[in-house]
Amino acid sequence: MITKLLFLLSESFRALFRAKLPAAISSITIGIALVIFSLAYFTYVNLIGYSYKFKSKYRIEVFFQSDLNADEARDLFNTILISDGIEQGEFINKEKAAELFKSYFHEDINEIIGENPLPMGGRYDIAVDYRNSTQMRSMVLEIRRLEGVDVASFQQGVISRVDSIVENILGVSMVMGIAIFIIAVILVSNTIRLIIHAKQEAIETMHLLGATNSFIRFPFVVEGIIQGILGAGFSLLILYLLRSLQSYLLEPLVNLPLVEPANLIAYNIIFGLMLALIGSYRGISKYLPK
Amino acid sequence: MIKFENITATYAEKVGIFNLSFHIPQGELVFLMGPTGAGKSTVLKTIYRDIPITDGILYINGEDVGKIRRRHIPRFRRKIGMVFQDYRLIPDRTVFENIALPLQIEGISKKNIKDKVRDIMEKVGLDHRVNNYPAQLSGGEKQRVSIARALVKNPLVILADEPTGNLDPNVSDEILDLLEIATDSGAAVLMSTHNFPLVQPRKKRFIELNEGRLVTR
Repeated sequence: MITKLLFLLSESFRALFRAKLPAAISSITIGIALVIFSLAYFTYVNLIGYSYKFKSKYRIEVFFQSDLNADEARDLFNTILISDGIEQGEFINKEKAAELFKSYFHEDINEIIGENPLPMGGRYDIAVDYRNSTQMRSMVLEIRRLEGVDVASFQQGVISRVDSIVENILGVSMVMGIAIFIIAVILVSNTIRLIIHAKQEAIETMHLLGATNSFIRFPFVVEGIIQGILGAGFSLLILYLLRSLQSYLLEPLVNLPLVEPANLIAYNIIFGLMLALIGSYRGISKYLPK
Repeated sequence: MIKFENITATYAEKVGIFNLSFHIPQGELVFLMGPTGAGKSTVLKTIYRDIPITDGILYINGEDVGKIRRRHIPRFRRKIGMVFQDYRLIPDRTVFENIALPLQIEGISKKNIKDKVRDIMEKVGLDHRVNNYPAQLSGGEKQRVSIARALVKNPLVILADEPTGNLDPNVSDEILDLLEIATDSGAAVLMSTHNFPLVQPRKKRFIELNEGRLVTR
């Protein structure tokens, strides 16, 4: 068994060495697909990071009716605070409202009109799962129904726009990812088919000599695995060069949150092997059915 | 060793072999004669289960070939040595590697393979061609390699499909000598040919076919 295995392994490397050009084409195809995948993944992670950071600033602002006293306002603030989707909140009393007015307009409201007519209210941060325009709209509607609430609002226009941009980019990335995956699988399987087709006569002879399909198939599968690993190596090399270029050109201007290199290496190897194995399997199954 | 009992194996309605019965015992060389299209190759293909048996029973070393399951065919074929007119050598392997292939398929150890291959190469007179590739050999040498590949696993049965078809008379005689030597180890050898003058002086039994039917047994 071990003798057979060693023989088949040596056959795999030999076959790879003999069919250098198709193997190189196949590995480069896998490599290019992985580079595109990695860039899509990089974009996705950064996009998610940015949108998370941006969305963490999503807030609902509530102004209470001016006839509420401080205790009533505090109770109302707490009622809203324990509602679904509210992560935390800040109670805005009259003094705090005047401070905010001053920070926005650089004027003291008490000095302008001799008193502080600003209403009390609250600013609420939104829990992660509720940071989208649909959920926030329904939260605002709920809050508006509460007695003592004068105005409840959020930046609906901006949030809707951000949501739709993120959704569109993710949708396009997913479609592109699937398309690249399918194209890479087809290219790899066609390359393997070409290799097998060139060996058709040898395969037939081996069948006549008593070789099983798995005996004949094994070197092609190992060949596929090696191509996957070579493709992953090629992709990582390109990504390393792109990263160096990005550090040199863009880093002084833009601060990009980067994907962990360990993850990228692991994903490249896993996807490289997946592409190669699916491609080999498709290629083999046409000529060597089970 | 090889026993045909009313075997019919057809490709189409009137193409194939029909109701054939004959027996080749251990250690005998038998020639399968007949013109092109007589069904000689079909007889051989039926033996190594390349085409299914439509009717009758075929025994190889007592095993009913028709009852062998599809997945066991490779194992069954390992008991048969095959020699072809077009040699069927693998072009990117050396002479040594071509001969070693059946042993590698069986999973025999490297050392045993080396000993067996060296031994058989010496027997067929190819010991000076170990590292040559098929393209570097003459037709006769290629056929020797093919015979060595068939003999190296000590098969029960050797099937030779027109092995001298592409060779000149002198080389053909040498090939026949090698096949005759193979019977010494007890193998039953069935060789198809349409070259009667070549095999006649050997004074061996022959089976003659015409249009898939037995003419002489």
